[in-house]
Amino acid sequence: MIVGIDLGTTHSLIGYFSDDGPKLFPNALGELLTPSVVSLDDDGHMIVGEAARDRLISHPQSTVATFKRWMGTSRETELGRRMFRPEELSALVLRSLIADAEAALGEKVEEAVISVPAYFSDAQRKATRAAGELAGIKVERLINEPTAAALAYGLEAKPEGSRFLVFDLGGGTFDVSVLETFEGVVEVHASAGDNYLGGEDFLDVLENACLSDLKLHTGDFSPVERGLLRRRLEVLKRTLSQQPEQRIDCLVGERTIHWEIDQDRFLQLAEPLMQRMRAPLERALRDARLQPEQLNEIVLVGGASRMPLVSRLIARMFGRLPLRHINPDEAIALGACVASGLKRRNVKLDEIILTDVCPYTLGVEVGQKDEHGNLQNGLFSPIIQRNSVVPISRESNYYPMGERQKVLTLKVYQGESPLVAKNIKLGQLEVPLNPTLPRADNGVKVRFTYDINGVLQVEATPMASGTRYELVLEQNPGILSEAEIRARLDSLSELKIHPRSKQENIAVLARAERLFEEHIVARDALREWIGLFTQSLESQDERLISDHRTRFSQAMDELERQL
Amino acid sequence: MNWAYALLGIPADADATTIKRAYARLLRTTRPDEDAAAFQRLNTAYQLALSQAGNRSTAPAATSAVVAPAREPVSTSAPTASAHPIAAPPQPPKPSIPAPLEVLKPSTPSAPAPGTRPLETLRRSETSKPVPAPSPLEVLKPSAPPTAPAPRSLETLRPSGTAKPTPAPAPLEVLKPAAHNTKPATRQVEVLRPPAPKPAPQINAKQLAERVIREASHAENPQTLSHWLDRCPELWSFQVKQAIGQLMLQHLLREPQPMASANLDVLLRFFDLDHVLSGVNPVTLEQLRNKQAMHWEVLNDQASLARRARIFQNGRPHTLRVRECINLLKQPPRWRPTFVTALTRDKPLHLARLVYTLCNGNIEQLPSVIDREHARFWFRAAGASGIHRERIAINAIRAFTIALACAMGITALTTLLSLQNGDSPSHIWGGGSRVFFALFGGILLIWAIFVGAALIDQWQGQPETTASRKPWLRRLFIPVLSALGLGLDYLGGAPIAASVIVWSLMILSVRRLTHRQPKRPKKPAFNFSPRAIAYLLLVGAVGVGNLVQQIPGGAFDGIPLLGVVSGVTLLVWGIDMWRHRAHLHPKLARS
Repeated sequence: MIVGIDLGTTHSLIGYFSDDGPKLFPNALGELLTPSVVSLDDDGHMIVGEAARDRLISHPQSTVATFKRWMGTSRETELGRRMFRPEELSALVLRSLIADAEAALGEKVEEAVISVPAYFSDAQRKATRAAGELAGIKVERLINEPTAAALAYGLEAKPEGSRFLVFDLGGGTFDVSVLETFEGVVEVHASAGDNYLGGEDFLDVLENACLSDLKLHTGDFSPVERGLLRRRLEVLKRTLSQQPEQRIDCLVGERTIHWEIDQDRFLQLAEPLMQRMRAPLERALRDARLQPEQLNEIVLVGGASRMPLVSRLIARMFGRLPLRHINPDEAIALGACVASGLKRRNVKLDEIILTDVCPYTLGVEVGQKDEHGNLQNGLFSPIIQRNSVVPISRESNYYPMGERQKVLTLKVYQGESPLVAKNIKLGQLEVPLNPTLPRADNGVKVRFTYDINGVLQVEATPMASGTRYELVLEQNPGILSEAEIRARLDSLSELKIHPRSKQENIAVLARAERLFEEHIVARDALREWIGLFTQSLESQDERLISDHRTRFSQAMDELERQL
Repeated sequence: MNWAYALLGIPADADATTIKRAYARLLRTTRPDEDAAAFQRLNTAYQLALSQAGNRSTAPAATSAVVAPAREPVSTSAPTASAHPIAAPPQPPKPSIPAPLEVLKPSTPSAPAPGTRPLETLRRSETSKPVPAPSPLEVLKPSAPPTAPAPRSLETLRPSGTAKPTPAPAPLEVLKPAAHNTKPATRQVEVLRPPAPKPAPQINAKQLAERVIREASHAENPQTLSHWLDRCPELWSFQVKQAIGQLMLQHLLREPQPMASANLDVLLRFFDLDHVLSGVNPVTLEQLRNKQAMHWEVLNDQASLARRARIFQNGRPHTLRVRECINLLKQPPRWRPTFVTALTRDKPLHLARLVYTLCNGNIEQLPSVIDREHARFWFRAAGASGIHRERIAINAIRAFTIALACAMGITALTTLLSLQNGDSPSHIWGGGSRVFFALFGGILLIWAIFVGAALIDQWQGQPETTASRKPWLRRLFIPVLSALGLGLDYLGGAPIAASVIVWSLMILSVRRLTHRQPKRPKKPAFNFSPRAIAYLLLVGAVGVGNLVQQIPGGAFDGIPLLGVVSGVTLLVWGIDMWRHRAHLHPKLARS
């Protein structure tokens, strides 16, 4: 079975393409959105999802979130006695999602289409694939998130064709894609984005403002208190769109602090982040060679795009209001499901063909002589220009700098800066030359081939000899090798995970512990409830537990509503 | 071209809709995830056909200023990397990267020889594509005010790209050469917008671009600047921002402004001009950054100014004492520092090089703190081309000082010797002063003759078109003086003076001829310049003449040597005048 997965910074979703269209699977708690949070409980079990997110408040030391932002780096997080790479944490989330899918489908999930931000780099894509392998599935294809959203959206788009812009502001990443649909073809014209811009950054802005207003430092907070503050601010951020003014109370050590903010202040604070959203929007439009009026629609995707300032930004830049008639949280996952259906060649989708682009420029380092004859090194010569339709293969000829040069070193880079120093180095290829030949005859044909999954292949052929050299992209610390993946796969399967049937109980307990930390007034009652519930868990009487759980949840709902 | 249409299976005059339909049909059999090579071919054909259709539909409507240059046909083996030209609007092609790479550059056989001068390549790309905005609107309208989005006001901005473009509203072209004497002017196309149906506040794009530059050069730090840019309501609109960015960059490349490099970086980032596909040569940008930063540092911050800086001129590196030179140039010229500076060996050169680096030879572009008069003085004083009053003044100071030093030194030496000989004091005084004045005067005289000769040489070597107060004097100088020399010899009986005049006139005439002859491209195999050969002949003639006079027996006594020399002089002068006859009288020009 092949499924579609949206592996998000804050939430993840899973679904498949059924005969009636894309369908998402609920998790053990009955919800479609599973928080991308991993936690380790006291007896060494891994917890993923809502319960883990609650434990972010009660057990911040043993819980980790937003690890999608570290994908493609070698950053490791300590949980218990074990160090986890971001791939492994993602794999744990994927495993939990797959368990949900298998429970709903009743069959084994072997393959998946996973969505990644369009602007994810080569290393980040490889890390996502490794996460899939670590979760025990074959990643059939990585689909760009805005493209996925467009697929979900494109199915209901007008048949005569339309051009639209997908604005995807998720929890941690920002993507823009310009697309066109006609005659069943979904054609991506351009993608741009910022891998480190999302809802979390708006939260950081709020937190910084709050701390500086109250003259506090992050060191003044205990981890639990800090988690509480962030959660309050998160709620504030969401409600600020409906109410013009908001106020929070929070506990620091012994005293309670109050902070107020209104919409204008928030807009002012968020101004730099909004500016960072402008550049990708403009670049995507320019690369697509479209004018704003030529777009039929602007589609907002991603949870953070619900903020009213996003609509404001669109209105200021394009002079019109954006459109949002798909659920911004689910659009990408639904699109990933459509892509999985495409992959399986679902009859219903046979009419749809997707062409995507390579979101960044790929090229090699070159030198250049300026008007005074001085050599300028470290310039970037593009071979595959960004936003070329993939799969693509391009060839360029390069010549050695000097006579009697023995080796031509091709350094392969990815990025947009004209100077390679600001770009990402992917690898290096040494091509031996014949030093007896004149410089002009010693050219090397360099061919870059970029396939539909974003894998780059580099070939170099000296024209004189005709021998082919191929680049094996060297290992960088952000990428796991095959052997490492196998080793980590074994060690991951040794981790203890609660059976799916127990997850609901764990979620209820985690929620109770979070509320215990959050609300001082209700602590006594909560302590009592937790004790009772633990007792009923120990009795192992399913009916008693279920009955107790329902009442406990209702009581907690009531408690949260009151406060 | 035909292969693209053949591949798509459509007639060569198909419109965008037909092309898209054919592409969609063929994609069913050529899926991108199955046959990569076939898909790539199909996609290339599709892009090509679409851009052709786009060009065809806009060609009649667009004026020469807006027309996009037709895309070169590409071969199947090496398709150009093209993005996605969408059918309708007059889209210029993606700014091609100027071909600046001399080495290690992907070479295409059809491409022009890769230029080694990035500035020119940049300019070339600009002329082919005046402003990358779809229509180079000089007068643009801002987008809707931030709070109340009004889509209507944007629609009026320009004929928008529907599949069937409305005829462009006959843009009025004003081709305005830039007001700079040295560089070829970058053309700026001004297109006036027809009156909008709804009156709305209009922005003059040029003024706005200048305001942006002004703001950038005055902003205290990059944060202030980026805040200002973010707040600028006009720049929220996509089209306006694009046009302003291009205008601003052109303006800066034409006239660099004092600006901190951090501020320039903010500008480039804001207008998205510093990426690899922006079409701006990174080396040019780097030079602009250096130049502007130097201006800015000179203006503002002495402490951050480098004590010494390495600059490149004529391909050679020079180390300049920047801070010292700037401090000198900040004050108006005064006697004492000028005198002292003139005596040093390389400081005048440093000053001239610094002034050149700062303003590219255009004194008016210098930072305002630098005294223009002072800068001009040193720029001309140390300039190697041409003889200016300043250069003579500096050299006079040097000659005077050298003569004084030499005369005093030798006088002191002779006086010492006389003292040892025990001569009488009055005798010593008289002898010493004689030696001193003779030496001092002699050295100055030699210098004056040298300078005088150089001046006369330059005056005579000037092209005929150079304005002069007495053109006839410049033309007739040689024959008149020749006659005078011969007259001296025959009548006055001053043979030495006469032969000096006659011989130097002959040298002068040859120099005049060679200086004023039209410049021809040098043949690389021919190492001797015509001027060198002329001098060799001259030296030979002098030698032969002297030999002839030495021959005993008086066989050649009857031939007046000076007369022959004068004859040669007049002949050479005549050749020169014949060459420039067109300037003498309009009638002569026709023959």
